[in-house]
Amino acid sequence: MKDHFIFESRELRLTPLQIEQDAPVMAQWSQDLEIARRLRSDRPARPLSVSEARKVFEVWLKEVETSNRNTLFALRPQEDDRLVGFLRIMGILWLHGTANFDLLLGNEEDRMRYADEALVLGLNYAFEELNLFRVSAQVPEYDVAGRALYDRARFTLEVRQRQAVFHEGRTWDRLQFGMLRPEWEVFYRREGVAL
Amino acid sequence: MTTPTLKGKRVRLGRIEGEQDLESWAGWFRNVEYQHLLDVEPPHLWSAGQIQTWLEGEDDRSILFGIRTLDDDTLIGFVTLDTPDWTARTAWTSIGIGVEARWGQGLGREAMNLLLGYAFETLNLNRVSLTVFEYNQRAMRCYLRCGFLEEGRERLAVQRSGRRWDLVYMGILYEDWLRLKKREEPVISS
Repeated sequence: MKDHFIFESRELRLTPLQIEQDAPVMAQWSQDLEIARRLRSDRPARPLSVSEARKVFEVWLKEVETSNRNTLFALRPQEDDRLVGFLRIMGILWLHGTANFDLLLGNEEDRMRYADEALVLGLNYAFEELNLFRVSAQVPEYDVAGRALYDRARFTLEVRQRQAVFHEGRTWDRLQFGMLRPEWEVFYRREGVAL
Repeated sequence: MTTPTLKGKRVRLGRIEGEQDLESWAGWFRNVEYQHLLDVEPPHLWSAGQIQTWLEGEDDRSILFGIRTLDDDTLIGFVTLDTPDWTARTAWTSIGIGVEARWGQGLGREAMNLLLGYAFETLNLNRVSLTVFEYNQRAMRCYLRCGFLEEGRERLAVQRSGRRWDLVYMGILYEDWLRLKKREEPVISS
Protein backbone atom coordinates (compact mmCIF):
# COMPACT_ATOMS: atom_id res chain seq x y z
CA MET A 1 0.00 0.00 0.00
CA LYS A 2 1.25 3.44 -0.83
CA ASP A 3 2.43 5.50 2.06
CA HIS A 4 0.19 8.53 2.35
CA PHE A 5 2.42 10.21 4.90
CA ILE A 6 5.17 11.44 2.62
CA PHE A 7 6.13 14.29 4.95
CA GLU A 8 7.55 12.07 7.65
CA SER A 9 10.21 9.51 8.28
CA ARG A 10 11.13 7.51 11.35
CA GLU A 11 12.66 10.40 13.24
CA LEU A 12 11.79 13.51 11.27
CA ARG A 13 8.88 15.58 9.97
CA LEU A 14 8.62 18.12 7.16
CA THR A 15 6.38 20.87 8.53
CA PRO A 16 5.32 24.43 7.74
CA LEU A 17 7.35 27.36 8.97
CA GLN A 18 6.05 29.02 12.15
CA ILE A 19 7.42 32.52 11.82
CA GLU A 20 6.94 33.77 15.38
CA GLN A 21 8.12 30.59 17.04
CA ASP A 22 11.01 29.83 14.64
CA ALA A 23 12.54 33.31 14.23
CA PRO A 24 14.33 33.39 17.62
CA VAL A 25 15.75 29.92 16.93
CA MET A 26 17.16 31.00 13.60
CA ALA A 27 18.54 34.22 15.09
CA GLN A 28 20.38 32.02 17.59
CA TRP A 29 21.78 29.77 14.83
CA SER A 30 23.04 32.80 12.92
CA GLN A 31 25.66 33.35 15.62
CA ASP A 32 27.42 30.71 13.53
CA LEU A 33 28.73 32.89 10.70
CA GLU A 34 28.64 30.03 8.22
CA ILE A 35 24.88 29.79 8.76
CA ALA A 36 24.59 33.57 8.60
CA ARG A 37 26.37 33.50 5.25
CA ARG A 38 23.98 30.92 3.87
CA LEU A 39 20.92 32.79 5.08
CA ARG A 40 21.80 36.04 3.33
CA SER A 41 24.43 35.32 0.73
CA ASP A 42 24.18 38.80 -0.81
CA ARG A 43 25.29 40.63 2.34
CA PRO A 44 28.26 40.54 4.69
CA ALA A 45 27.80 37.59 7.06
CA ARG A 46 26.76 38.67 10.54
CA PRO A 47 24.36 37.35 13.17
CA LEU A 48 20.69 38.24 12.63
CA SER A 49 18.42 39.86 15.15
CA VAL A 50 15.08 38.16 15.76
CA SER A 51 13.31 40.76 13.64
CA GLU A 52 15.83 40.29 10.82
CA ALA A 53 15.28 36.54 11.02
CA ARG A 54 11.55 37.18 10.75
CA LYS A 55 12.18 39.31 7.65
CA VAL A 56 14.24 36.54 6.06
CA PHE A 57 11.32 34.16 6.65
CA GLU A 58 8.86 36.62 5.17
CA VAL A 59 11.00 36.90 2.03
CA TRP A 60 11.19 33.10 1.79
CA LEU A 61 7.44 32.69 2.17
CA LYS A 62 6.71 35.43 -0.33
CA GLU A 63 8.94 33.68 -2.87
CA VAL A 64 7.08 30.43 -2.27
CA GLU A 65 3.72 32.14 -2.72
CA THR A 66 4.49 34.32 -5.73
CA SER A 67 7.19 32.64 -7.80
CA ASN A 68 5.86 29.08 -8.12
CA ARG A 69 9.53 28.07 -8.16
CA ASN A 70 10.30 27.36 -4.52
CA THR A 71 9.11 25.14 -1.73
CA LEU A 72 10.04 25.43 1.90
CA PHE A 73 9.81 22.98 4.80
CA ALA A 74 10.79 23.39 8.43
CA LEU A 75 12.38 20.21 9.81
CA ARG A 76 11.19 19.01 13.22
CA PRO A 77 11.77 15.74 15.11
CA GLN A 78 8.95 13.24 15.59
CA GLU A 79 9.36 13.47 19.36
CA ASP A 80 8.86 17.23 19.82
CA ASP A 81 8.15 20.51 18.02
CA ARG A 82 11.69 21.80 18.09
CA LEU A 83 13.02 23.42 14.87
CA VAL A 84 16.14 21.56 13.68
CA GLY A 85 16.55 22.92 10.17
CA PHE A 86 15.13 23.82 6.78
CA LEU A 87 14.79 22.07 3.48
CA ARG A 88 14.21 24.44 0.60
CA ILE A 89 13.75 23.30 -2.97
CA MET A 90 14.68 26.35 -5.00
CA GLY A 91 14.67 27.59 -8.56
CA ILE A 92 12.34 24.94 -9.90
CA LEU A 93 12.24 25.11 -13.70
CA TRP A 94 9.08 23.28 -14.67
CA LEU A 95 9.93 23.23 -18.36
CA HIS A 96 13.21 21.39 -17.69
CA GLY A 97 12.22 19.49 -14.53
CA THR A 98 15.17 20.79 -12.52
CA ALA A 99 15.69 22.35 -9.09
CA ASN A 100 18.25 23.05 -6.36
CA PHE A 101 18.24 21.61 -2.86
CA ASP A 102 19.23 23.83 0.02
CA LEU A 103 19.40 21.78 3.22
CA LEU A 104 20.34 23.63 6.38
CA LEU A 105 20.59 22.08 9.85
CA GLY A 106 21.06 24.43 12.78
CA ASN A 107 23.70 22.56 14.73
CA GLU A 108 26.18 19.74 14.45
CA GLU A 109 24.33 17.25 16.59
CA ASP A 110 21.05 17.60 14.68
CA ARG A 111 22.91 17.49 11.42
CA MET A 112 24.44 14.12 12.31
CA ARG A 113 21.09 12.80 13.37
CA TYR A 114 18.66 14.19 10.79
CA ALA A 115 20.43 15.31 7.60
CA ASP A 116 20.22 11.96 5.82
CA GLU A 117 16.52 11.47 6.53
CA ALA A 118 15.77 15.04 5.46
CA LEU A 119 17.49 14.44 2.16
CA VAL A 120 15.62 11.20 1.49
CA LEU A 121 12.28 12.88 2.26
CA GLY A 122 13.22 15.76 -0.01
CA LEU A 123 14.19 13.47 -2.87
CA ASN A 124 10.93 11.52 -2.57
CA TYR A 125 9.00 14.75 -2.71
CA ALA A 126 11.01 16.16 -5.61
CA PHE A 127 10.68 13.09 -7.82
CA GLU A 128 7.29 11.66 -6.78
CA GLU A 129 5.29 14.84 -6.29
CA LEU A 130 7.05 17.56 -8.28
CA ASN A 131 7.89 15.14 -11.09
CA LEU A 132 11.37 16.61 -11.46
CA PHE A 133 14.01 15.03 -13.68
CA ARG A 134 17.01 16.12 -11.65
CA VAL A 135 18.05 17.97 -8.51
CA SER A 136 21.30 19.77 -7.71
CA ALA A 137 23.01 20.79 -4.48
CA GLN A 138 25.91 23.16 -3.94
CA VAL A 139 28.47 22.53 -1.22
CA PRO A 140 31.62 24.53 -0.53
CA GLU A 141 34.79 22.46 -0.62
CA TYR A 142 35.48 23.01 3.10
CA ASP A 143 32.11 21.57 4.19
CA VAL A 144 33.36 18.03 4.68
CA ALA A 145 30.15 16.82 6.34
CA GLY A 146 28.04 18.24 3.50
CA ARG A 147 30.14 16.50 0.88
CA ALA A 148 29.92 13.22 2.77
CA LEU A 149 26.15 13.63 3.05
CA TYR A 150 25.62 13.93 -0.71
CA ASP A 151 28.08 11.11 -1.36
CA ARG A 152 26.15 8.83 0.99
CA ALA A 153 22.90 9.83 -0.69
CA ARG A 154 24.44 8.70 -4.04
CA PHE A 155 24.60 12.12 -5.66
CA THR A 156 27.27 12.59 -8.34
CA LEU A 157 29.87 15.35 -8.15
CA GLU A 158 29.32 17.28 -11.39
CA VAL A 159 30.95 20.70 -11.16
CA ARG A 160 33.94 22.17 -9.34
CA GLN A 161 34.00 25.96 -9.59
CA ARG A 162 37.52 27.02 -8.71
CA GLN A 163 38.04 29.64 -5.98
CA ALA A 164 34.35 30.53 -5.93
CA VAL A 165 33.81 30.95 -2.18
CA PHE A 166 35.73 32.77 0.55
CA HIS A 167 35.96 31.22 4.01
CA GLU A 168 38.37 31.63 6.92
CA GLY A 169 40.84 33.78 5.11
CA ARG A 170 41.10 32.04 1.74
CA THR A 171 39.17 30.97 -1.32
CA TRP A 172 37.79 27.48 -1.81
CA ASP A 173 36.09 25.66 -4.67
CA ARG A 174 32.32 25.38 -4.86
CA LEU A 175 31.18 21.83 -5.59
CA GLN A 176 27.91 20.98 -7.25
CA PHE A 177 26.31 17.59 -6.88
CA GLY A 178 23.43 16.21 -8.93
CA MET A 179 21.01 13.31 -8.92
CA LEU A 180 18.90 12.25 -11.90
CA ARG A 181 15.50 10.61 -11.69
CA PRO A 182 16.73 7.27 -13.15
CA GLU A 183 19.49 7.18 -10.54
CA TRP A 184 17.02 7.88 -7.77
CA GLU A 185 14.76 5.10 -9.06
CA VAL A 186 17.59 2.59 -8.96
CA PHE A 187 19.02 3.58 -5.59
CA TYR A 188 15.89 4.43 -3.64
CA ARG A 189 13.09 2.43 -5.17
CA ARG A 190 14.63 -0.84 -6.22
CA GLU A 191 17.20 -1.09 -3.48
CA GLY A 192 14.78 0.34 -0.97
CA VAL A 193 15.95 2.77 1.65
CA ALA A 194 14.58 2.12 5.11
CA LEU A 195 13.47 5.16 7.03
CA MET B 1 49.90 48.56 -18.26
CA THR B 2 47.35 50.63 -20.14
CA THR B 3 44.12 51.78 -18.55
CA PRO B 4 41.35 49.28 -19.24
CA THR B 5 38.95 50.58 -21.81
CA LEU B 6 35.47 49.66 -22.94
CA LYS B 7 36.49 50.16 -26.57
CA GLY B 8 37.95 47.43 -28.77
CA LYS B 9 38.90 47.25 -32.43
CA ARG B 10 35.42 46.59 -33.81
CA VAL B 11 33.01 46.99 -30.88
CA ARG B 12 32.63 49.02 -27.74
CA LEU B 13 30.63 48.47 -24.57
CA GLY B 14 28.20 51.29 -23.81
CA ARG B 15 24.92 52.15 -22.19
CA ILE B 16 21.58 51.04 -23.55
CA GLU B 17 19.17 53.94 -23.82
CA GLY B 18 16.64 55.54 -26.13
CA GLU B 19 13.75 54.21 -28.08
CA GLN B 20 15.82 52.80 -30.91
CA ASP B 21 17.92 50.64 -28.56
CA LEU B 22 14.81 49.30 -26.87
CA GLU B 23 13.16 48.51 -30.20
CA SER B 24 16.32 46.67 -31.32
CA TRP B 25 16.37 44.67 -28.09
CA ALA B 26 12.68 43.77 -28.42
CA GLY B 27 13.24 42.72 -32.03
CA TRP B 28 15.97 40.21 -31.17
CA PHE B 29 13.46 38.04 -29.32
CA ARG B 30 11.56 37.39 -32.54
CA ASN B 31 14.41 35.05 -33.43
CA VAL B 32 13.65 31.94 -31.38
CA GLU B 33 17.13 30.54 -31.98
CA TYR B 34 18.52 33.59 -30.17
CA GLN B 35 16.28 32.75 -27.22
CA HIS B 36 17.19 29.04 -27.29
CA LEU B 37 20.90 29.88 -27.18
CA LEU B 38 20.48 32.48 -24.45
CA ASP B 39 18.10 31.33 -21.77
CA VAL B 40 16.46 28.38 -20.00
CA GLU B 41 13.12 30.20 -19.88
CA PRO B 42 10.45 29.32 -22.44
CA PRO B 43 10.73 31.68 -25.45
CA HIS B 44 8.62 34.78 -24.98
CA LEU B 45 8.14 38.24 -26.49
CA TRP B 46 8.46 41.61 -24.76
CA SER B 47 7.60 45.11 -25.87
CA ALA B 48 10.15 47.93 -25.82
CA GLY B 49 8.21 49.43 -22.91
CA GLN B 50 8.39 46.22 -20.86
CA ILE B 51 12.12 46.02 -21.49
CA GLN B 52 12.52 49.63 -20.37
CA THR B 53 10.65 48.93 -17.13
CA TRP B 54 12.86 45.90 -16.54
CA LEU B 55 16.05 47.89 -17.22
CA GLU B 56 14.97 50.64 -14.84
CA GLY B 57 14.34 48.05 -12.12
CA GLU B 58 17.91 46.71 -12.34
CA ASP B 59 20.09 47.56 -9.36
CA ASP B 60 23.83 47.75 -8.72
CA ARG B 61 23.99 44.01 -8.46
CA SER B 62 23.63 43.71 -12.20
CA ILE B 63 25.93 45.54 -14.61
CA LEU B 64 24.62 45.65 -18.15
CA PHE B 65 26.42 46.91 -21.25
CA GLY B 66 25.18 47.24 -24.79
CA ILE B 67 27.56 45.97 -27.45
CA ARG B 68 27.91 48.55 -30.26
CA THR B 69 29.80 48.29 -33.52
CA LEU B 70 32.41 51.02 -33.92
CA ASP B 71 31.77 51.60 -37.64
CA ASP B 72 28.09 52.58 -37.40
CA ASP B 73 27.34 52.62 -33.63
CA THR B 74 24.58 50.03 -34.02
CA LEU B 75 23.47 48.11 -30.94
CA ILE B 76 24.05 44.44 -31.80
CA GLY B 77 23.88 42.75 -28.40
CA PHE B 78 24.48 42.94 -24.68
CA VAL B 79 26.83 41.60 -22.03
CA THR B 80 26.27 41.50 -18.27
CA LEU B 81 28.13 41.04 -15.03
CA ASP B 82 25.70 39.69 -12.42
CA THR B 83 25.37 38.84 -8.71
CA PRO B 84 28.84 39.99 -7.67
CA ASP B 85 30.21 38.53 -4.44
CA TRP B 86 32.63 41.24 -3.28
CA THR B 87 34.06 39.02 -0.56
CA ALA B 88 34.99 36.10 -2.81
CA ARG B 89 35.50 38.62 -5.67
CA THR B 90 33.38 36.66 -8.12
CA ALA B 91 30.57 37.42 -10.56
CA TRP B 92 28.55 35.73 -13.29
CA THR B 93 28.46 36.85 -16.90
CA SER B 94 26.08 36.41 -19.81
CA ILE B 95 26.28 37.66 -23.37
CA GLY B 96 24.01 37.73 -26.42
CA ILE B 97 24.46 38.95 -29.97
CA GLY B 98 20.92 39.72 -31.07
CA VAL B 99 21.61 40.53 -34.73
CA GLU B 100 21.91 37.16 -36.45
CA ALA B 101 23.84 38.63 -39.42
CA ARG B 102 26.60 39.41 -36.88
CA TRP B 103 26.92 35.86 -35.52
CA GLY B 104 30.20 34.03 -36.03
CA GLN B 105 32.29 37.14 -36.67
CA GLY B 106 34.19 37.22 -33.38
CA LEU B 107 32.37 40.32 -32.13
CA GLY B 108 31.08 38.53 -29.03
CA ARG B 109 34.60 37.41 -28.23
CA GLU B 110 35.87 40.97 -28.50
CA ALA B 111 33.04 42.18 -26.26
CA MET B 112 33.69 39.42 -23.71
CA ASN B 113 37.39 40.33 -23.63
CA LEU B 114 36.47 43.94 -22.92
CA LEU B 115 34.14 42.82 -20.15
CA LEU B 116 36.82 40.59 -18.59
CA GLY B 117 39.29 43.49 -18.62
CA TYR B 118 36.68 45.58 -16.83
CA ALA B 119 35.88 42.80 -14.34
CA PHE B 120 39.50 42.09 -13.40
CA GLU B 121 41.21 45.45 -13.73
CA THR B 122 38.47 47.92 -12.83
CA LEU B 123 36.32 45.94 -10.39
CA ASN B 124 39.17 43.85 -8.95
CA LEU B 125 37.30 40.56 -9.37
CA ASN B 126 39.20 37.29 -9.12
CA ARG B 127 36.77 35.03 -10.93
CA VAL B 128 34.04 35.24 -13.60
CA SER B 129 31.63 32.33 -14.12
CA LEU B 130 29.14 31.39 -16.79
CA THR B 131 26.97 28.52 -17.98
CA VAL B 132 26.40 27.53 -21.59
CA PHE B 133 24.17 24.92 -23.21
CA GLU B 134 25.92 21.87 -24.59
CA TYR B 135 24.33 22.53 -28.01
CA ASN B 136 25.82 26.03 -28.22
CA GLN B 137 29.20 24.93 -29.54
CA ARG B 138 29.95 28.29 -31.11
CA ALA B 139 29.65 30.05 -27.77
CA MET B 140 31.72 27.40 -26.01
CA ARG B 141 34.57 27.85 -28.52
CA CYS B 142 34.34 31.60 -27.99
CA TYR B 143 34.59 31.26 -24.20
CA LEU B 144 37.54 28.86 -24.43
CA ARG B 145 39.39 31.35 -26.62
CA CYS B 146 38.63 34.08 -24.08
CA GLY B 147 40.39 31.96 -21.47
CA PHE B 148 37.46 30.28 -19.70
CA LEU B 149 37.94 26.67 -18.63
CA GLU B 150 35.23 24.05 -18.42
CA GLU B 151 34.65 23.19 -14.75
CA GLY B 152 31.99 20.54 -15.05
CA ARG B 153 28.58 19.71 -16.43
CA GLU B 154 25.16 19.70 -14.84
CA ARG B 155 24.04 16.53 -16.57
CA LEU B 156 20.91 16.62 -18.76
CA ALA B 157 19.69 19.85 -17.17
CA VAL B 158 18.08 21.32 -20.28
CA GLN B 159 15.11 19.99 -22.24
CA ARG B 160 15.20 21.31 -25.83
CA SER B 161 14.37 20.01 -29.30
CA GLY B 162 13.00 16.73 -28.00
CA ARG B 163 15.97 15.68 -25.90
CA ARG B 164 18.05 16.59 -22.88
CA TRP B 165 21.37 18.41 -22.92
CA ASP B 166 24.06 19.19 -20.37
CA LEU B 167 24.51 22.64 -18.87
CA VAL B 168 28.24 23.35 -19.08
CA TYR B 169 29.87 25.39 -16.30
CA MET B 170 32.88 27.52 -17.20
CA GLY B 171 35.05 29.88 -15.20
CA ILE B 172 38.02 32.17 -15.64
CA LEU B 173 40.35 33.33 -12.86
CA TYR B 174 42.38 36.52 -12.93
CA GLU B 175 45.52 34.39 -13.14
CA ASP B 176 44.16 32.55 -16.22
CA TRP B 177 43.43 35.88 -17.85
CA LEU B 178 46.88 37.31 -17.08
CA ARG B 179 48.55 34.22 -18.49
CA LEU B 180 46.56 34.52 -21.71
CA LYS B 181 47.28 38.24 -22.03
CA LYS B 182 50.99 37.62 -21.58
CA ARG B 183 50.94 35.13 -24.40
CA GLU B 184 48.93 37.32 -26.73
CA GLU B 185 50.68 40.61 -26.05
CA PRO B 186 54.35 40.00 -25.31
CA VAL B 187 55.89 42.82 -23.32
CA ILE B 188 58.73 44.48 -25.23
CA SER B 189 61.34 45.65 -22.78
CA SER B 190 63.69 48.38 -23.88
